[in-house]
Amino acid sequence: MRNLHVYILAAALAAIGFGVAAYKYFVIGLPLREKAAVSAWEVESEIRVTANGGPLKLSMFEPDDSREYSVLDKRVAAPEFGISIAPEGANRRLNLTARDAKGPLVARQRFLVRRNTARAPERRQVPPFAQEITLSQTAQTIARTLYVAAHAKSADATTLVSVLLRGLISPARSENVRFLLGDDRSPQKIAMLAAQILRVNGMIARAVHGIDLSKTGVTAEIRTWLEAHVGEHWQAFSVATGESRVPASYFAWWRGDAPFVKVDGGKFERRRVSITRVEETVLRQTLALGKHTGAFLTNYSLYSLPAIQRAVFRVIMTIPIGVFMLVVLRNIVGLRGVGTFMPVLIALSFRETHLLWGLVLFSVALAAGLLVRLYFDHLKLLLVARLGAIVMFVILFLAAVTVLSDKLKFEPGLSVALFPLVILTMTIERVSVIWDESGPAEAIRLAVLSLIIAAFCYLLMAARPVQHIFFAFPEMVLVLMALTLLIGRYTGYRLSELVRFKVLAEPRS
Amino acid sequence: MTPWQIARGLEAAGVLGMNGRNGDYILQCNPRKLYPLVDDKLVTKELAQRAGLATPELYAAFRYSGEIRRARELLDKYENFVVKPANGSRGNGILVIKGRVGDSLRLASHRLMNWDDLRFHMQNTLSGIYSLGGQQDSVIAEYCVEFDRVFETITHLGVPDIRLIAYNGVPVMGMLRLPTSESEGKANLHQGAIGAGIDLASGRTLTAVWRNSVVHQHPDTLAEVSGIQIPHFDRMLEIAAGCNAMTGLGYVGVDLVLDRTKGPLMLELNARPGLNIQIANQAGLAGRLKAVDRVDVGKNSVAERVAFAKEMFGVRAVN
Repeated sequence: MRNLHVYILAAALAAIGFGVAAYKYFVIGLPLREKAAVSAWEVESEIRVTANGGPLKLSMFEPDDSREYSVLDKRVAAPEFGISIAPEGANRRLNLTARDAKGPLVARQRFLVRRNTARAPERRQVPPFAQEITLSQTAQTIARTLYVAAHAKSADATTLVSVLLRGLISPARSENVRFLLGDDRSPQKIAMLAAQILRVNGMIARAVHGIDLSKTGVTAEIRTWLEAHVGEHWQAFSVATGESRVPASYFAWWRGDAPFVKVDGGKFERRRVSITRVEETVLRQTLALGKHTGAFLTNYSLYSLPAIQRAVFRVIMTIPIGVFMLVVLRNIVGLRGVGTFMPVLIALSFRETHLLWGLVLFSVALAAGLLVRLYFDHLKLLLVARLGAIVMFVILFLAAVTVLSDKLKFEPGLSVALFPLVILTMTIERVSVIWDESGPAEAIRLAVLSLIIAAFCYLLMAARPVQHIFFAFPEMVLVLMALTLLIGRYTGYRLSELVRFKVLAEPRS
Repeated sequence: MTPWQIARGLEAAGVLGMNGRNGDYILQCNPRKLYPLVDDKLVTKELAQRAGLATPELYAAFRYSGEIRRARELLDKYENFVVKPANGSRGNGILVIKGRVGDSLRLASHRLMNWDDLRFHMQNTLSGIYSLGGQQDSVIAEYCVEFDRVFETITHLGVPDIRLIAYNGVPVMGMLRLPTSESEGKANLHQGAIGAGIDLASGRTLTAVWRNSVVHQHPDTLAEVSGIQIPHFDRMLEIAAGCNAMTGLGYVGVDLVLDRTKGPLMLELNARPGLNIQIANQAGLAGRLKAVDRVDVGKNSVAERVAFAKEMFGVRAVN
């Protein structure tokens, strides 16, 4: 009964721990490795115009977050202009206006694109913009013919669009297609035409314009593809192949037939789009995206703490793994050092000094303290008074080490300040009691064993990957707690007992 | 043998491990609040007296530093006596005083000690250096047991004692602990004493272990330690069988000594008795504890429970 209770509790704790961690990993996108890197893209669009003199109105599109990408740090550098943003169909139009502009002017638009780590829900389920039809009556008739032909050769809406697109792309174009396309056979034209043909036949479709983020450089081309509303969502179609997908690196900028730049009262000179790839850690990106979208688990995580508390918790969150290691060593292996969790505390003190110097310092302080303790033994002092005197000795010893280190310009010695002297004192006392009771051999054996365990604890607790896991996923402590509870009901043999009772396991003669 | 095979062998022999003892027996049938009854030997002594069990006579108890000044006044009239911490463990902090040399006290280990040394020792004991967790302690001065002549040839210094494990009123296993020169007169196995298993049916010693290996002779006296008939063993079983009800602890280690004039005396109880007794008996405890669980012994008389133990856990029954 009691065991069942523990099993259920442990299972629940582990499920919560793993569940929250899995959610943070898969949905929020917190990385398991601290240094895992990911790309982001800095996009800059530069537009040059020559103003006629008088009012100038210049407008362009501003990209928005999509299912695949988030757009951050949007900035416009156009000092001569007033800036306003207005929605226009599926897009956001950036209007730059000046009352009295003259000569060449430059407007720069800059933003950072990050690939979403979490899958954001699709924003626009139904197209909010008017399904304009611009084809002439004749053209509409031809469009219907093309649609019927494509319909006959396809199985569903997706393949229909593909078949239709292939008919438009194929070099062996039919008479009807050639009529509709005219001389312009650019992808833009094909995409717009396909959208028109589909609209004439009652489907919802639009041309999409964007850039290929994988083609970094100073003169990025504008790519165009087709989106058709199939079933419940928008489906992208390549106008190069007709297939129902576009490369993942395609970043949608604006939708519809409108040109990117509109200029009133001036002459459009040229536009240049540059794409620069920047390396970022997944961690930084996820945290930035979490702030951007206001995700609860990111904003109420340990990462949201001020820097000092963050540093403290980076250490504190590793204590459970050290404690767990001691539980395993005690109850499964059967090793015991000096004191229950003393090695974890010693390991914490090594953080200040680093391992080698910490071991040296601890050993020297322990040896010196033991000598003093053995000397005090002759003075027949009472317990608490004796402990007090040893604390004072340890403080003086550490002070002397620090001053000497400073004089000798020995850096690690100065880090001693926070070396926990109470831990040191208690260790000295425990070791000396063991010395009295079980002899020097046992005392030294236990002290050395404790230091070895402490060193292992330190190596485990100071390892960056371990620190990252427990800081990014504090719920993993619940998993450790579940395991600890299970060990708490482990009534089997300890490894050391296999040696201790070995004679009893041999078959009786 | 692989570790796995050893583990299965131990399982088959019914050997109780530390985790099993703590998790399945001590945590289940020894409520923490009853520990003071056995951790403090003064309390245990009173308890035993009320239950009519013989214990070594208490000469004096020292609870406060101030009382220690009177140590000589109170104890000088006794030629032999034992000084020990009321909350001590593992036989630490026990001094056995056997006679005087001039103004000095002569210890059983032939060391000499003056009264000041003894007072300092008592002072230290009061401040808790021998108690678990270092809490305030008391000092007991009591009758020094003159152990039975049976053990004369197989004891070096110290007093041999008999440890019985009692579970739910049934003695399940016993061993005779013999001090050696290495254990400095202490009867604790981990300090180098010999442990000899006892056939519960007959009260005869079985094989013995010393430092985890099987021995047949006492390392100091070279006398045979197996096959020794312990006198008054039935009385010891009866004492042990009464200890669970007396303390409320379901799983308890009972330490007894055999005085040559006063017979079996209960020395102390242990709520966390060690597992070495299994090595001394070459037998596992878990199997015997389960055998007790299988029968309802709660309402039976002490005599019936002792008879049950002798029948179930005698050598003939076990083999």
